[in-house]
Amino acid sequence: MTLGKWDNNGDCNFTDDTKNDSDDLNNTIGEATPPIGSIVAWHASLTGVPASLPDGYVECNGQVLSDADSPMNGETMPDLNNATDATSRFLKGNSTSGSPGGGTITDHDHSITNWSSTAGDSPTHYIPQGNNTSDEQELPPYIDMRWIIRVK
Amino acid sequence: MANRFNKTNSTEWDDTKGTAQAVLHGDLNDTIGDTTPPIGTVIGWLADFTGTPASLPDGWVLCDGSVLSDANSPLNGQTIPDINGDEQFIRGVSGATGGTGGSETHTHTHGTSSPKGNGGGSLDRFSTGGTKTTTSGNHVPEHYDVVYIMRVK
Repeated sequence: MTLGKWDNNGDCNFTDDTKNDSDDLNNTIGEATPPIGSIVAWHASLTGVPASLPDGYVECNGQVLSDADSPMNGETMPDLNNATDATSRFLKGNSTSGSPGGGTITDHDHSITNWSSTAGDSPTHYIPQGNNTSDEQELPPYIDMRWIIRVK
Repeated sequence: MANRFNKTNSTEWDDTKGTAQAVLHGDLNDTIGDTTPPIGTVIGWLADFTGTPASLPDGWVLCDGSVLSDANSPLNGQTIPDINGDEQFIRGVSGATGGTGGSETHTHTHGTSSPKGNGGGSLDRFSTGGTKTTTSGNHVPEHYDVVYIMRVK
C-alpha cells in the first residue's frame, strides 16, 4: 500500500497539526476506499457477516434513497437483487453505466442444410428436432450475492 | 468525506507519551490497509448515476484498456484490462486471473430423427444421421451495465 500523504514519522504534534493530519488522513481514505457509486457484492447470508451495512452503503433494491448526507439523496437505486422487478442481475462492463439488458435467447433458426439421396430413391429429408425459442435463458455458473452501492 | 478522525475517537491517544502520534499513525495505516479493497481490486461503478461524482479518486482508474501512467502505482506502465469496451462479465477463478472467453452468441447442432407415419412406421423417404447447425442466438444473461474500475495504488 502506498500511502504517501499520511506522515508516519511522528515528528509533529497534535496541538499544531491535528487539522493537517485529519486532512491527510481523509485524503488517504478517499484514495483507498471504493468511490461513491461503487457497486460491490455482499455475502449477507454468510455466517458471521454483520447483519447491517455500514452507514455509507445501501442495498440495490430499487428503493428511493432518503439520506440528506448523500449526493444521491432522492434518487431511485437500481434494482439488481430481484427485490421488485423479479430479476436477479449480473453486472456487465460497459463504457456507459445504468442500462439493463439480456435475459432471453434471441430468435434464431434451426435450418435444414443437409440433403441427400439413396440409390434409386427420392432425396432423403432430414428433419431438425426442437423448436425455435425466444423465451429461455441460459445462465452461466453463478453464486447469489447481494449487490450494494456506496452512496456517500 | 466527513472528518472521522479526532482526538476523542482515538483509543491510541495518550498525552503522556511522546510517541503517541507515531503509534497512532502506524495503527491507522494498518487499519486502512487491512480494511480497504487491495490494489488490483476490480469493482463496478455507477458512473452515470445522478449524484455520483464525475471523477474517480486518485487511487482508481477505469478498466478501459489504457496503459497506466502513474509513478506512484506498482502497476505503472501496464495495460489495464478493457472490461468496459469489451462488455465483459467477471467470473471467479482459482488460477491465473485475466483470462477471457465466452461469447454472446453461439452455434450448435441438433440431431435428426425420422418422422413417423400414421401407422407408426417410419416414412421411408426420411432418414436420421444428419446434423443441423443453428444460426447463432444471443444468450447474454440478465444484467445491468456498470463501468468497471480498478484500484491501482
